[in-house]
Amino acid sequence: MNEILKMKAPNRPEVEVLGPTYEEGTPQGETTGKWSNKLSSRAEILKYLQTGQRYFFSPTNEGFGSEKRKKPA
Amino acid sequence: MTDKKIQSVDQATLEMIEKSHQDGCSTVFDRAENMKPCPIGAEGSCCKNCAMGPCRVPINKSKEETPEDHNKRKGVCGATAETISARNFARMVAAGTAAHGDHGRRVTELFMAVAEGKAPGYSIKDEQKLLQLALELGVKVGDRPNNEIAKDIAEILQKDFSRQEGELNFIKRAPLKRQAVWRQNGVTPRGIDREVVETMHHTHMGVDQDYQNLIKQATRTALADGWGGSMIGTELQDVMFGTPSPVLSQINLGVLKEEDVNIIIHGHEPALAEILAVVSQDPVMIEYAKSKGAKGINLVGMCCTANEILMRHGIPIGGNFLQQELAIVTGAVEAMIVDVQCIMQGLTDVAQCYHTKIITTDERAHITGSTFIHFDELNAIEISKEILKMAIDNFPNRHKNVRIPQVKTDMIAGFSHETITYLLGGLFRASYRPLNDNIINGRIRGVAGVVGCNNPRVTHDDVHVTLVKELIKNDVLVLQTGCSAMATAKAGLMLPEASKFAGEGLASVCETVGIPPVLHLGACVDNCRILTAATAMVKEGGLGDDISDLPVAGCAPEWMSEKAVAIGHYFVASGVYTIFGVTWPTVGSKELTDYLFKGLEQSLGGKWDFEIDPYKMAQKMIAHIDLKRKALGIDKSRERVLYDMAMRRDLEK
Ligand code: SF4
Repeated sequence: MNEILKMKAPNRPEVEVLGPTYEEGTPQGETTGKWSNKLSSRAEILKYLQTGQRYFFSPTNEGFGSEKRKKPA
Repeated sequence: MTDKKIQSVDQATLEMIEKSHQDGCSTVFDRAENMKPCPIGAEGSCCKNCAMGPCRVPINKSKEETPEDHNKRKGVCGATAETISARNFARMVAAGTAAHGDHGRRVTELFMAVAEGKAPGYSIKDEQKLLQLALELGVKVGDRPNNEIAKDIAEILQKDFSRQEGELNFIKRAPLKRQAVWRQNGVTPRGIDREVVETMHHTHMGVDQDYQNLIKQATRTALADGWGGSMIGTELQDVMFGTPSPVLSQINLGVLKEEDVNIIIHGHEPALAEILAVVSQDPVMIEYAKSKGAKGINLVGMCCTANEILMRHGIPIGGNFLQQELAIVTGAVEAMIVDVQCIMQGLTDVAQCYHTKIITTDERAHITGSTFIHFDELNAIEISKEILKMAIDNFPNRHKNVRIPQVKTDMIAGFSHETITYLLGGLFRASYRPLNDNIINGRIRGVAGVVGCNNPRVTHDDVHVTLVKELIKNDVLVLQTGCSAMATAKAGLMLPEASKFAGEGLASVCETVGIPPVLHLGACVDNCRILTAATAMVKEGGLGDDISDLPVAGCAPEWMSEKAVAIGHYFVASGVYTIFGVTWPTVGSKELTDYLFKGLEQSLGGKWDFEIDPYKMAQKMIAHIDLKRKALGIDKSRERVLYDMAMRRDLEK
C-alpha cells in the first residue's frame, strides 16, 4: 500500500509524499504497545536512559535545553 | 419540574438512574436532590475548630460589604473570615495530601517486601523504571541484582515520609528555576508526614491567624503531595506493575457481561487489583465459575483503580465516580471489591436492592453493612482467591431484574511520560523535541491538564467533555487522569479518530505521531506524571526556564474531593494556572480569594481561578496559554520550511 499522495507545502508547489504505510486493523495481543520490551539487556536500558531521558540522566551532567547554561538559574 | 437539571450526558448513566427508580432504590443523584449544599460551609465561612463555636461568618451577598460589616464577621475567638476560610482550605489540602501520602507509604512498604522476597505474587516487573529511579536517587547499579537495588531505593524513599529537615528526594526532579522559587519562598517540603501534621497544628484554634502564612504552609503541604506522596506511589507502582504503555480497551457499563460473574474492583491502590487481574484468569477459578452456571469471570474496574489496571492490563472500565452505584443497579454485579478513597457509603444501601456483595479489604476503610476480608499483601494470592470465590458463589443469587445498558466505547490509555518520550522519537531519538517544536511553530497552541472527579451538583460528565472538546478544537493538546479521563473516553475522545474534533494544527501532529488529541495518563495519583512531563518540556528547551513559562493550564471541572484541592494547589505551587469548576471553597473571604487568584502568582508563578461554564473555562485557559506564548515570543505561528539546495543558493545570494 505504498500510496503516493499530493500535498500542499508552505512556499512550494504541490509535493508528492508517501501515504500511510501502516497495516489496517486493530493491534492484538499481550505485548501490543509494550515498547520497552525492545530493550533486552541492562546495558541497553542504561544507554537508552542516558539518551532518551537525557534531561534527567545524561552522564555528562551538563544540562540540556533551557538548563544548559553557564550560570545556574 | 421544568427547571430540573439534566443529571448526565452519558446514556448508560441516564438509563441506570431510571432503572434505580423502577427498582425502588435511591442513588447519589437522588440524595443530591434531597440534600442541598450548606451555603455557609460551601463558601468556607464555617469554623468548628473549637467548642466555643461552631462559628458561622457568611458574607452578605445581597450588598457590597463595608469595612464595618467585614469587621463584624468574626468568630468567638476573634478569628476573621480570612483566617477561617484559609484554615478550612489548608485542612482540605492536608487531607488530600494525607490520602496520597498514605497511598505512597503503602506502596513503599509493599515495594520493600518485594525487594526482600516477602511478597509472593509480586515482583519487579519493570527493570527500566527501577534503573531510572536508581540513577535519579544515586543508588549504585553495576551488576547488582534488581532486588538489592530495589531495597536501597525503598530505604531512601521511606525516609521521605518521616524526614524532619531537608528536602524530599523528588524535589530535585523539578526544573532548577522552580526549585529556586520554592526555596526563596520557604515552601520546599521536608517530610510528607511533617507537612501534614504542621498544617493540622497551624489550623488548630489559636495558632496561625495570618491567612497568607496559612496558605504558605498549605503550599508546602501540597508540594509534599505532588512531588512526594503521589510521585513515590506512581514511580514504585511502575516498577512493580509496569510503566504504562499504550493499550486498547473499552469503557462504560456496557462492559459488564450478563452470562459472566461480574466483579468490580473499585478504589485507588492497585496492589489487590493487580493480583485479581491474574487470579481471575486462573483456569481453576474459571471452571469454578462455570460450575455455578456462569460462562466465565469478568473483572471490571471503577474509579482510579480502574485506571491503574486499565493502563497495565487493558482491563475494561465500568465507569467513573458517579457510576459506582449504577453498576450495582444493573443487577449483574456479583461483588464490588473496594479499598480506599472515593467509595460511597451509599453502596451498601444500593446493594441491598440487588444481590451484590460489597467487600471491603482495607483496615483503614471499613463500611457498616459490608463484608470485610483483610487483604494482606504478603498473602495476596490466597486472599484474592478467597474473595473471587465469594463473588462466584454469589452468582446463583442474582435477581431477575438484570439490565445492562448496551453502551460502551473503545479507548486507548497508557501515555506515561516515558511512553510519550518514546512515541515522539522512537528508541534512538526519544525526545520531547517534536512536542516543543510544534508548540513553538504554533501547530499545538499549548497543553492542558484536565483532571479530577465527578460532582452531582453539575451535569455528570458534561463539563469535562464540553471543555475538552473546546480545548482540542483550539489546538490545545489535553492530558488527562482520573474520572475526568473516563468522561472523555466515554465520549470517544481517547481514540486517534478523535483528531477530527481537533483543530487543524493539533490534528496534523496527532495523525503524524499516531496518538489521540486527548491522552490518558492514569489515575489521580498519576497527576504527578503531568509534573514530570512539564519538567521535561522545560528541560528540552525553547519554552522558557520554568514550568510557569510554559503555555500550559490545568483544570478540574467537576471536582469534589479534598484530594482535588491538594492536587490543584500543587499545580499552582508548581507554576501552573489552575481553574476549578462547580464551586469555590473560599468565596467567604474576598481577600483570601484574591490572594489565591492573583497574589500567589507574584511569588509562585501559578494561580487559581474559578469558573462554572465550560466554554468560559476554555476561553480562560486559552487566554492564559496565549499570554504565555506572547511572553515567550511565539505568539505568531511560524511554519517550518524545509530548504532544498535551490532555496539555499537563493538565500546565499
Ligand atoms: S476557633 Fe474561633 S472561629 Fe473557630 S469555632 Fe472556635 S471560636 Fe469559633
